[in-house]
Amino acid sequence: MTAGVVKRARLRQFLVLSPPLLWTVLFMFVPYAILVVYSFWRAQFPLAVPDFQFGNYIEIFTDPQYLNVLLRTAKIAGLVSLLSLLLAFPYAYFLVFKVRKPGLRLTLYMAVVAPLWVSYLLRAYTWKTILGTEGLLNSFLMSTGILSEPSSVFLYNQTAMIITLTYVFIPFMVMPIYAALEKIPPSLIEASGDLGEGALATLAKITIPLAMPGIVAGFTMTFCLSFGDFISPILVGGPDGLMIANVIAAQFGAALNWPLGSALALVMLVIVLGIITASDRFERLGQARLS
Amino acid sequence: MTEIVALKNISKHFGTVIGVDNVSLTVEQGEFVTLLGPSGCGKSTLLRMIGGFEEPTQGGVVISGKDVTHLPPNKRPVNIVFQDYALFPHMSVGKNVGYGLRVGGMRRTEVAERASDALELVGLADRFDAKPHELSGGQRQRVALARAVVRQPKVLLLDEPLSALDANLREAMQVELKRLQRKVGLTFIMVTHDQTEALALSDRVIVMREGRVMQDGTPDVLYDRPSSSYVAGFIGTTNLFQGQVRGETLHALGHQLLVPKGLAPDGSMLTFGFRPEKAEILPLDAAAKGTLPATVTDILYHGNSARIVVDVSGVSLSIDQTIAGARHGSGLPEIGDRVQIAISPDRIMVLADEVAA
Ligand SMILES: Nc1ncnc2c1ncn2[C@@H]1O[C@H](COP(=O)(O)OP(=O)(O)O)[C@@H](O)[C@H]1O
Ligand SMILES: [Mg+2]
Repeated sequence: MTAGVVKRARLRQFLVLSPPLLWTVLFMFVPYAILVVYSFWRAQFPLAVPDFQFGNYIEIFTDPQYLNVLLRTAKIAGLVSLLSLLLAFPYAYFLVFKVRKPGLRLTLYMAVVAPLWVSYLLRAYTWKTILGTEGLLNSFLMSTGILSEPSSVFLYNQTAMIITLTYVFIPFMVMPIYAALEKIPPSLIEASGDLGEGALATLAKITIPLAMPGIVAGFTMTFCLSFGDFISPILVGGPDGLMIANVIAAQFGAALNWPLGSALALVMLVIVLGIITASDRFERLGQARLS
Repeated sequence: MTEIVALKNISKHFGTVIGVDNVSLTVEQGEFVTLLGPSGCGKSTLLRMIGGFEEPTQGGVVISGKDVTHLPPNKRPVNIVFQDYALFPHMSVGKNVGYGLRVGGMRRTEVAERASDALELVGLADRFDAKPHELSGGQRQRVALARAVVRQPKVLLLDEPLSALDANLREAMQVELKRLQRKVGLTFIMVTHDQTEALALSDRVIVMREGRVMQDGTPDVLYDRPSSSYVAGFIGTTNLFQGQVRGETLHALGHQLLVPKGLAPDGSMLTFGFRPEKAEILPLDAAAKGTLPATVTDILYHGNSARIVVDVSGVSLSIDQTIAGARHGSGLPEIGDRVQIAISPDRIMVLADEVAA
């Protein structure tokens, strides 16, 4: 190959790759770089002054207010992931091992996954109408006579948020678990029974360990998605339901403290990246063990 | 001899598909029984009903005198070797083999001991800590065997245990399987679609077709006295033709053959057959009674023997001739030669089920 041909091939490669490259640089790296720079600046109402100091980070880790929000966010995201897992695993198990008709299986699978095509906002809003004073739950409880007047306890609290977020993100738990279970040869489960183990022991010793990559992937996705959510706290969360994303949004809005907002955003990014990296490690470990 | 497995009129329907259709059979203690038939004839389903993986639509399964028809696999004194071996990929070879021993509450050290004894039995004592994916196909097969045998089941079920191996290995594993069965003295029920494998390994072969048993007998009975043209065609090669017996003469293929008296009822049109090695090719000039004049159409050379395909009155017949034993002339005939075929009268089989119109 002559040098000219090589050059032309390079050029073509560059032209093909440049739009996505440009896009990534412009809309991901540049904003992140701006965030990093801002996070070291100093807030001086109503503006931010350029500086290089760690005051924003120190504030995040010393002011219990921020740590509390972070912990609460982690708690809610953890509970959402756990609840999703407890609902998604039996459902996926049932679909893969108990439903024999492929058509029915696909229908039931799509019933969980299809809502992903509906706007997130709309799905979260649904729960506002279900849980509200005029909502479905109250009308049902009143029509059955359990309640005599509508109750407001269902909406605007952490429980409502957990229910809403679970509903919104559960497809991300069902999909990887379903995929993992589908990969398990049914003969392995039969072999465990053949060797004397009952259904529960087989679940614990064979099915769950082999589905672990799917469980971890699902947990990671639902956790990270809930961790960064800021719509459902606004729609169905109460005064005790603020999450880290709401606090960050507030810093860029009403509180007008962009440097602190940037520092908070970066702390959140590091946490999420840490979780994704750990889960990726785990998955690779599992793959090495199985392949 | 004691009866260890009895299937009583069992059937299995999958919706409208009939997997197994009213099968009854018994297996004796220590026997090596093979279910033989083409793919889809219900062999696996029958085996899975013995193992407890399918519940019969009708009929019952008795193991060791106990009705186990409705018991799950973990409550039955049998173990199975699956076609894909079904080794647990996340456990070591030793853990796999010991898996079925922990259930009985056996101590960890004893489990490990027995597992390594079982691995020793199949020649894999040094692979205790390996993972299944590190083993070859033949080794995985042996681990699966060890894992089942270590539980000392009353019956060992094997679903096409050798079909995933390549031809060379399959033959070696046949020898090994037979050796293992003699050594541990277990009752084996094996499923296969490979008739050579069935004949080589089994004390008794059960030939199946479309969910039913066609014939149940020892390998030599199936070979020498198949009851139907289906069995005759499935086991080995058979030359089939139509004919009519009158006394000691069989009128077939436009000629007359000699047969023993009472081979078949006089006068009715039936299907007859003979194995390729039970006939001889003679030069046309040799004077012989009850032979068939034929034309050689093909010769397939097999090393120590050759299969000679001849045409007799428009019907194609195969005859195997050992090359060392070709007594007449220089050896093999040539394509186009006119010859005559002599079939030993006592080697002509009646396949009574196939009545020609
Ligand atoms: N779980 C099942 N659901 C529906 N049909 C089945 C099932 N298992 C087997 N069959 C049908 O039963 C028949 C016998 O199958 P099988 O016992 O697997 O045959 P073999 O092992 O002889 O190849 C086949 O027609 C097969 O399609
Ligand atoms: Mg089969």
